[in-house]
Amino acid sequence: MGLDEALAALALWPGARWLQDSGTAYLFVNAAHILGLGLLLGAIVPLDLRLAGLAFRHVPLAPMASVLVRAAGCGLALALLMGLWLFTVRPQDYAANPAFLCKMGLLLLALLNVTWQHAGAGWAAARQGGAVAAAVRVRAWLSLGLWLAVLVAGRWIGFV
Amino acid sequence: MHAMFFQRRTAGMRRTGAALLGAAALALGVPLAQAHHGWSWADGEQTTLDGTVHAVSMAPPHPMLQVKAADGALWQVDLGNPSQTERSGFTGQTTKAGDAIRVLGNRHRDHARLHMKAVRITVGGTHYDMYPERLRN
Repeated sequence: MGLDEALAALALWPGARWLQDSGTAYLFVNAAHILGLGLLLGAIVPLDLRLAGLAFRHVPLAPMASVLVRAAGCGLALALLMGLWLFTVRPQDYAANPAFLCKMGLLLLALLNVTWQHAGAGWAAARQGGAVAAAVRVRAWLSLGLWLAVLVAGRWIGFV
Repeated sequence: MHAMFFQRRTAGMRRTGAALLGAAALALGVPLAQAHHGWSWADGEQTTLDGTVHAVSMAPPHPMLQVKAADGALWQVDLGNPSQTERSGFTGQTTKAGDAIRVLGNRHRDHARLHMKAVRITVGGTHYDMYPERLRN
């Protein structure tokens, strides 16, 4: 089965058919996607700014991180799930949209950066109240840049 | 009690309040159609496209048609959002591939791109108005 056929088949699952036929259902799923990314950005921006040493310097990192990492994780999971659902509504159109492809590339990089950050020894040390290592700071900057770029690419989809 | 409260308001607060009201009045004064984000990429003048229906997609966020022009070129024609399209009377069953269609609307500013936003489409002698407030008769 070629890529084009696979994409066309995706648009046939009941969840996709429902959203294709109902603007109201679509807007709820779209809003949930936005809620997910809102939660993700709302949590990761203050955390990354703290890690970069640009804000909240007087606030202990450990409690900040335990709240914000979890919130960001929930937002990411929601955004990914709703995003996949929205994709299936018009898969061939999105797969041909340069802004969408750009967003997917940036998303992959952002996710790799998350893995890299959490796998590093510096992260555990920082969370335990130690100093924030340079490597951790670099990945915090990358995180800021990448997630904001994902946001813009996502908005661009509708304007290509 | 009330008099004491009003005396506490400074001239600065009044100026800020006036500025905010002025800004709000300006914002509300801009015609809704021009404030809509989707028109900024299109020509100001409306043009007409005659052709045949090639494909119809009713899926959100924006229903759209592909129209084959007389010269064989394929145009993307954006309809209204799902609610606006429904209000026009146009549905997924209204046309099929091969039907003659006339599109009145605003084409992309970059004329190399065959993309336009439909204000009114006419199929089988019936008008379907996506943006009735933009019709000038």
